[in-house]
Amino acid sequence: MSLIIAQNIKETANTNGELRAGGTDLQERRRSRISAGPIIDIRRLQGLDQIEWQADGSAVIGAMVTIDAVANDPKIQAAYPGLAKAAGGLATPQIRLMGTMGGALLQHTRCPFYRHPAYNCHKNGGDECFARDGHNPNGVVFDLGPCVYPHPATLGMALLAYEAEVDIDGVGRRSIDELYGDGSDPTRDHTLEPGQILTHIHLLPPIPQEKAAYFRSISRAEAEWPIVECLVRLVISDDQITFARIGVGGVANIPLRLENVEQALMSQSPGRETVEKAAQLAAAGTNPLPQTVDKVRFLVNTVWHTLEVLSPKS
Amino acid sequence: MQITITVNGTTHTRDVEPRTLLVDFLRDHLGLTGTNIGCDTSQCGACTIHMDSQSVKSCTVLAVQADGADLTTIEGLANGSLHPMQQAFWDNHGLQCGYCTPGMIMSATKLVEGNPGISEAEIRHGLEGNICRCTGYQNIVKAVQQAAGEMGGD
Amino acid sequence: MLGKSIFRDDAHGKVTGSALYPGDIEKDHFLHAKLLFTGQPHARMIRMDTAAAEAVPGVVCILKAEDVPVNEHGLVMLDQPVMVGLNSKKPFSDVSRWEGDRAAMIVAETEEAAARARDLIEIEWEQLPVVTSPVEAMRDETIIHGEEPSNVYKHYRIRKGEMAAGWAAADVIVEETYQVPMQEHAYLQPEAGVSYIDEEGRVTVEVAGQWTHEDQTLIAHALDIPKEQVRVIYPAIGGAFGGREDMSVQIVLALASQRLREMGINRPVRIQWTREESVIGHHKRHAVTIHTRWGAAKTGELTAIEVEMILDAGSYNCTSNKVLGNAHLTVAGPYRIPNAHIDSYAVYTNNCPGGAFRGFGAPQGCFVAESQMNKLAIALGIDPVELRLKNVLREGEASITDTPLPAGISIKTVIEQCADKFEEPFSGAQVLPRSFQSLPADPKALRRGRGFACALKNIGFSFGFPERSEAYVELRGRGEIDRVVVRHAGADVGQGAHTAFKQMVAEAVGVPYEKVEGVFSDTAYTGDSGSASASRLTWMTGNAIRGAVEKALTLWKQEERPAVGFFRYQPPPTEMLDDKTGKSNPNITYGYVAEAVDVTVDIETGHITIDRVVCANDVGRAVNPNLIEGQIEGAVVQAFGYAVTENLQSKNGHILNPRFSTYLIPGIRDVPQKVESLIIEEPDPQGPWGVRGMAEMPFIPLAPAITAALYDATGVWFNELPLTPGNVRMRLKNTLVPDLT
Repeated sequence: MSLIIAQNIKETANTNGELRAGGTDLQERRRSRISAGPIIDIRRLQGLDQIEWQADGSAVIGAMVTIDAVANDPKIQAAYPGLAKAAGGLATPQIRLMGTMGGALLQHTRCPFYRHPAYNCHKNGGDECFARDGHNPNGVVFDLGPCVYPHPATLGMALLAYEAEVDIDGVGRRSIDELYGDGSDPTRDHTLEPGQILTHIHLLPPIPQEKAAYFRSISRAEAEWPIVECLVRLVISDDQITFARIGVGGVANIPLRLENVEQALMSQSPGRETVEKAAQLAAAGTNPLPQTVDKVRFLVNTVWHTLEVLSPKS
Repeated sequence: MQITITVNGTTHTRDVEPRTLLVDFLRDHLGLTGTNIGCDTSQCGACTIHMDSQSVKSCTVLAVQADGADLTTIEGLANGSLHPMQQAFWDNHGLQCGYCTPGMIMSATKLVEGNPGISEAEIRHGLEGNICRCTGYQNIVKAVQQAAGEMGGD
Repeated sequence: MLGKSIFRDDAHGKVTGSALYPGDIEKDHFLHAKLLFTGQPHARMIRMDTAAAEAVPGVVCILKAEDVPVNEHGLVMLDQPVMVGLNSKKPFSDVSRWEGDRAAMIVAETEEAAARARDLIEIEWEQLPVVTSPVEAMRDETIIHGEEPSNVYKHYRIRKGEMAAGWAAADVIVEETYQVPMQEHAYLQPEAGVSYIDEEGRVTVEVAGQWTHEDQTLIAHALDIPKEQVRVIYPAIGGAFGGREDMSVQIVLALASQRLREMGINRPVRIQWTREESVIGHHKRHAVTIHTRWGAAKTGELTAIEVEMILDAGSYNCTSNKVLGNAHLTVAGPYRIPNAHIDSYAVYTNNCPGGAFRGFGAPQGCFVAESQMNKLAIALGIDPVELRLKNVLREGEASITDTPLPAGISIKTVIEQCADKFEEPFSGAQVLPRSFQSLPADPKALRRGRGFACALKNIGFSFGFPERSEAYVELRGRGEIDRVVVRHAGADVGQGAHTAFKQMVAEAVGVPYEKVEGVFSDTAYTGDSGSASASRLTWMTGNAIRGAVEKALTLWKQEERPAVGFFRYQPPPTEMLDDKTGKSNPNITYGYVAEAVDVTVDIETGHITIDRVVCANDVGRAVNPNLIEGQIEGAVVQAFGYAVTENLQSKNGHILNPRFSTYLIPGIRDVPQKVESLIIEEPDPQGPWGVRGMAEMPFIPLAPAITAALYDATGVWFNELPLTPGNVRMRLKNTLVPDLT
């Protein structure tokens, strides 16, 4: 049968079908004939569509919770403001209502070559990256592996900045780093095997004084994957940065955290100079493609801009 | 697979192929061709309907996923006379080719619910998921503002 | 009745969902069709095996090139096979020159069966060199159309005045190269249609097009049957913009119905394209490369221009030679140019064919002319508006074709009114300077600038084409006229043409609008209207309606009941360009437009927003002002997409982004918040009630107005479109804006 409606999680295992939740990514891949096999509809799975709050104040978000629900939940907005902002900034209203957290994390690359039936790239049974030869101005600036198209998951980037973990049924708890791997394997967008299902997202207890900012540079006002995006979480206490987490997207084939920038901010006064100096470090370690050289500066400026939103006006 | 769906107040029980999209079910099984398909990939919003009182793009929903749901399509909006939003699109020339119009109207009616004084910025933000290639959107914004006032927060 | 913003008739159906587009038509016992595209930008078919496909349960028939009686079509040149394949009578039709060439049409009981069968068709191809660069194609190392001696299949010239004298008189010379890209129409309704044999035995196709009678002609030609045995009907049309001028599903649907009849199967056939099929399977606005030099005296008068223009026609002509002609003339702008040397070439490549798209060559030509004028203005230190006013053509002056433009030249008026309107402050808050120089720049990354451009565009078909429009008007009643029925083929593609037609009928007869009924867009009941294109429809139809009403009223007075008037309007003939000099009277009449914009650019991100647009468009006489404003607002937004957001990418002849997730047509927050329409009414002496065509014009000057504003904001000229954030960023960086490093 071409479609299985999974009634419980076990049914999703040991099949060669693709999981379908909100369907917004899968449907396009079916239209472009990149996905042709059976589908396992997981919208009936019980217990995955809730945000649960733990005694320590942390949230566990079910994989079937919609992006819209995360963006507009007042408790999430208070506890994890950066996550709510990132969720509210992606796609369009109808997609946020239909798209799920799990689907957002596990969507496939937007690379036009991957999605074109005339090209077989690494992710499509081939052994080439067609975006590498200079055709893609939106390519990566951290060249981590054969595939040079940026990872599309804004929420993966956000959860990385929140040091969240995910439950994978039958596998256990995994960090976001582990979910996406190190970018060296060009055949996949995440490390789940066929049939495996991501069930929950575990967030750490919120930090009460946290301030967060999210900035998404795209080609239009809304409704587009980012060219560069940045999420900054800061705790400022007595004019000193005591906590910093910075996630960036659109720059590598996996979501990234900029730990060097975080370190540069620590224990500093959050003034203009600190921010400017730290933001420059975003360029460290970049190894851009010929066509993405200017995107390095763009990355720096996006990080800078996002930091500035949080630094007191000097 | 057998599904039961309520559309515009009428309950239908039908056998569908598992892969049937909701929009195809509406158009081909129920003959409700007012819901248009513009892109097949949930970008354009022409296929927007209300499902359990939310705006969704029916091209990304499988018919079987809507089993048990309560749907409203453009055909179900008018109640004897035109819905204020329909009238407003007409009065304000909020359409040209009309292909995006049903989806635009369905998104807009949901958007202005409970917000009679909705601002232009809110309207534009809320309609980002609906594309129009003809009008330049100016008259669409006017129409939605007019209807929001007339609907008085309903 | 003229000048009133009558609410459009079709709106009720469109707001309630009852309007029927081609894909909505329901008939009993439908069969379903799918088209197989070759997917081959350049390859020769060696073998095609349909056995497995034919064995799929539910498959009724599979049509191939050999099944097409006359395997050719094309709006201007019959250079395109209906299907690519073996054993066709048409030479060279075994070669696929475009990934969107058709290889087979599968007709089956269900869409799924047709799709499955399509997947099972096996084709073996011999790969041929794929030529995607027009410059490379011009070397003729690979000939794309075997029957042609060269890929360069059209060359127009202008030779006017004495170039040496022109350059000698120039105090300033601006020399530049411009590159403008393809653009996808992206009408929201993907191609669809149904076909059947009607009650009178005609092969009948219901489809969304722009010219019923041309569809009919091309179907009849390919099927090798008389035109009278073909009927074309347009139901509601979901946008067109030039993209529905060429044949998409028309001929193959008719072919299927003809074949089914031969098989003794009396069932209708339907086809529905996906968005991807639509983008891959129909033509685009042309990509063009232009190298040019313009000279001007220090007082501002233009002295000479030299242009070399290379137009990528893609794999088939479609309307490329005509588009080339328009670009060839509009590249000189609406200006008095004493000395000119212009060479324009249309070149075959293996890219998606170029064809008609709102503006039809004028956006490309005007981008060059207006960019050159804006650069000259800077070089000369003359206000760009003043510079234009010094150089615009006046009545009786020789245009670029060495003949005067037809009477009624209003370019001066539109420029002045646009400039005056722009002087008015924003909401009374900010008084702006007279000159189109600089706005105060914001600190940091946001820079603001202001730009100006104008344009002219022909109305109606050019270069000797036998233009015509036919209308029937029937007056019913006894003592008084109770009802008026107008029959006309003109396509309402969304612009509201049918509402405007009825207003003109009411005006001509002198009855209220409500008494007028229309029978539209069905070859069985209407005469040939010509197409809904070239800003010609209201203009031509109005003239036809006036003639038909006059005849009907004469018959009415002679007591004929009902009184039916038929009129075939034919405008004064036009001429082909002279081969050597280009001297000619190529066009019937023109429309004129000017636009001014305020733009903000973020020099960090390259993101451009349009803060304000004023468009002054001479419409001659406004038949329906609200519909006209709709055309202006829509055209400006489409032009914004062309200039800024839309970026059709193609590689080795394959379009890489054939869907809206990556081909970004402007959304509701991307667009200028307000487009201020200045409707100017300087009558066109030849137009009905003075009407002038208008729907393309507001598209044309926006791109060069934006690049002028960008220069104003950043000091950097942009000679290439689109101005996507990435492109803007890269160009700003490469040009080293001082405080950007």
